[in-house]
Amino acid sequence: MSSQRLWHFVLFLFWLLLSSHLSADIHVEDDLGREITLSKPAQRVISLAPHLTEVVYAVGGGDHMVATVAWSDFPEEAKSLPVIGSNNKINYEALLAYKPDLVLVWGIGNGENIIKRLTSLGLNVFVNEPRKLGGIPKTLNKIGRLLGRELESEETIHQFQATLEGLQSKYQQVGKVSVYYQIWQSPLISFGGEHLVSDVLRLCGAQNIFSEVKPLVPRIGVESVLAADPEVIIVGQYTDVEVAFEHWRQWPQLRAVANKHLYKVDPYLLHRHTPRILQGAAQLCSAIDKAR
Amino acid sequence: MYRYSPIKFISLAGVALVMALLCGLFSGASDIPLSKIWGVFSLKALDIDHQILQLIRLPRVLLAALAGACLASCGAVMQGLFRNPLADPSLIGVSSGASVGASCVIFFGGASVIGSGIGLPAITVGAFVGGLLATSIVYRLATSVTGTSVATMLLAGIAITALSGAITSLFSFFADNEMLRRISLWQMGNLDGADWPRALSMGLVAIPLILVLPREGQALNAMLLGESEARHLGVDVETMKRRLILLTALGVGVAVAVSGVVAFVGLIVPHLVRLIIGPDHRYLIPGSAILGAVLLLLADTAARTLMSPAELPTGVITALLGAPFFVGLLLQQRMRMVG
Amino acid sequence: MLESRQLSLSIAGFKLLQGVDLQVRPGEVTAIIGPNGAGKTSLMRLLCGEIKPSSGEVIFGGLSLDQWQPKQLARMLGVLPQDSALNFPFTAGEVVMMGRIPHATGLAKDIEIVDAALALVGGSYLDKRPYTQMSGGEKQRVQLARVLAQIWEPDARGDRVLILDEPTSAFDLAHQQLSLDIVKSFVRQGVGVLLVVHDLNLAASCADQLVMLSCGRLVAQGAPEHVLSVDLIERVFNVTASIGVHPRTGSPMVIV
Repeated sequence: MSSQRLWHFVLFLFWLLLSSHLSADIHVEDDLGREITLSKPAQRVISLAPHLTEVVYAVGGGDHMVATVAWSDFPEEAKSLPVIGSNNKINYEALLAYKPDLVLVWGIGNGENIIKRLTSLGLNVFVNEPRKLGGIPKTLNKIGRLLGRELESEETIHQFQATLEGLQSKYQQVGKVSVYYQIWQSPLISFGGEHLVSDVLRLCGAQNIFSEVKPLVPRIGVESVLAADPEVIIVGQYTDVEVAFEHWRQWPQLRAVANKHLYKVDPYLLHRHTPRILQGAAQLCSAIDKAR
Repeated sequence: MYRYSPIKFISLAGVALVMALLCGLFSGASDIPLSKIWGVFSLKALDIDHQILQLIRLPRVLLAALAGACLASCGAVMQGLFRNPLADPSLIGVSSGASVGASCVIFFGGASVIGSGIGLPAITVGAFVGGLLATSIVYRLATSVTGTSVATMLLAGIAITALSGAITSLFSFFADNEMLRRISLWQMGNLDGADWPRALSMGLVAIPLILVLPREGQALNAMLLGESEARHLGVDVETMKRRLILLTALGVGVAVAVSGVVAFVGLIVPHLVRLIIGPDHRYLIPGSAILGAVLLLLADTAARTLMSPAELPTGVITALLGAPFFVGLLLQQRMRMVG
Repeated sequence: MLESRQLSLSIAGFKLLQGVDLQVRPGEVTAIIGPNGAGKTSLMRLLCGEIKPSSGEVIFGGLSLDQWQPKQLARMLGVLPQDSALNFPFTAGEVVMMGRIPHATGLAKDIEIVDAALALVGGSYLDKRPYTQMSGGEKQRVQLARVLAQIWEPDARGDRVLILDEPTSAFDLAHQQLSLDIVKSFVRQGVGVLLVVHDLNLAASCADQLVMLSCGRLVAQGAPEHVLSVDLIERVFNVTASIGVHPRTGSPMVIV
């Protein structure tokens, strides 16, 4: 091969590389810092977490959903989607049969093994790991781009930011209230400082009494609540809300009990990392505000 | 081989038990001065410190001590009955059967039952019935005209344990998320649910059991010689076996029901005590009861305080504390035999 | 005292024993002999009540074995099995002390008897040693001492019986002799002894009465010199033997 022909060949390769790069117009970095590259907007999407299903609908990509997991119950259309497993058990054969060109995964919810398995199956895997309220618009933006729904997602993000700012300005100057947020009665389980709900509490001008605790969802003792003596007790349980209230009313010495600041909030709104969390946040903030 | 005098050991362990009780009673998220101890016994609660002592720490400390004593003395009895120093109550399917019973109540009872006041007693009864049922199935499988074969019983125990595991998994599969959480948290060992009803129901079973079991000490000693040897020494072997299996099923079933599956105590404690004072069951059973109480108390206190204000499952601590200790003792024992 | 009447045992259709009548008399040694599989061990287990016969019965002190209280029976009937799988580190003293479980004679007396029994088998030095670390012979001596301690003293309810299954299998010659001497000293106290042995010469030298089993049937019973004949041994053991006389004791000797 002459040197000139070789040179042409190299140039040709270069061109190939460049052109392929240019035509792959969607690059998105997921929350694990991995880059997802799609040659065209995703057409067949599978979500492995209820909140991700909801986000897809929120950015107007609901038509592209082909399957999801158990408990994906919002919006109403999502309930009719085929279910291919639960958060920690995925039927891979069923998943592959839907030929997805994008799989949305919830980092801690689905776990490392599922992520590894899906990646090794050669699928486009987007991992979402929301910890802060500020992460929700980012998720909306990224999923919107992956689905080619930038416009709709911008709209949703705009609404989200407006509501968030409204809440922020409302509770910016208020006095700090200490809050115990309970998600389980027996055993007692709360949220640690890293959890999204702690961020919502900060938004409401409140301080989670367990903000220093490292685990995201720690088991805690009755005593540590008594020692912290919160001003407000919030029960964000799916069931047994009255049982929880009764339990804490045994301790009239607690400021929250003495002043009757025991409130329930809707966990379906607050524990999911979707735009609707702000509805829950509004609920939570106004409950806490009663203690001021 | 050097042995401690049993009386000396039991009195030392008794002192350790008192200290462990105090230690458990006075460590926790809120600082309570030792001087408040008399408040524990006062009828009307004086302030929040006294209430914490009376309503939170005392039942928990008592539950830990009673469950530990119950599991350890039942373990000692089982090891004698099976003539195997490493036997465990879970070998005859009590723990796994209890798990199935409890899961069953959680699954079929649903949130309405669990949430209400009868939830805990229902789970307790479920666990006990499950444990007893599993034990009696194993016992029946292993018993023939010629008596109870230990080997068959252990094999049947393994089979029942596997079956119970499968049934529990099946429940988990069909259970919704809440039930799943309840089942898995319950299985982890759940001393943080301690309250007076639990402590009292444990005490009602554990205290008579701990008083009655040492009476079988002589007969169990004879059993160690062999079943026919025991029979020739005038022990009514079949009746004794039946009685002891029922009693241990009761003890372990209730312990598992009120405190979840706290592994390891029933296996390791009797073994340790045997290494220290020798195998005579008349001392081994009470010695194990006291040391079991001390071990579970310390483990639970550690579980409450190490990561405070978060709590660790108690069973994790018992395994973490006990396993290396046990291995160390085994090594020491082996070196003494070589040297 | 201990006797069997038309004792038969069949398990899963196999007739292990058929119509065995025998008597263990006080102050006498009765030895059960016979080839492997003749039913010696089954007969022994029937006689000590470990298993129940298919038909026939075992009479002890005028009563059927079933009618005895286990505790009371244990005070009068001691059984030494061939091997004991004791895996727990009891000391020799503790093992021998278990022989006193059926008795309620008080700790001081028990200790006295345990010490005497251990001394008798030449095992005093083993007192504080763990059983799990002893040699086979030492273990067998400790077990013998345990059974002796069990029937150490005469019982008001009747004569005592000692059943020994191959009691000398792990012993050297000296200890074999010692254990037979001990057994004889109990026989002189009026204890009835039932031995199960393989060794015909051992049986002949110490037994007052031999019981020969073959294929589950009792084929000969009586004094050693009557039972041990060339003819019978040929028939039962399928071996041609000569019968001699022990130069010192005068008991018959089987020489193959």
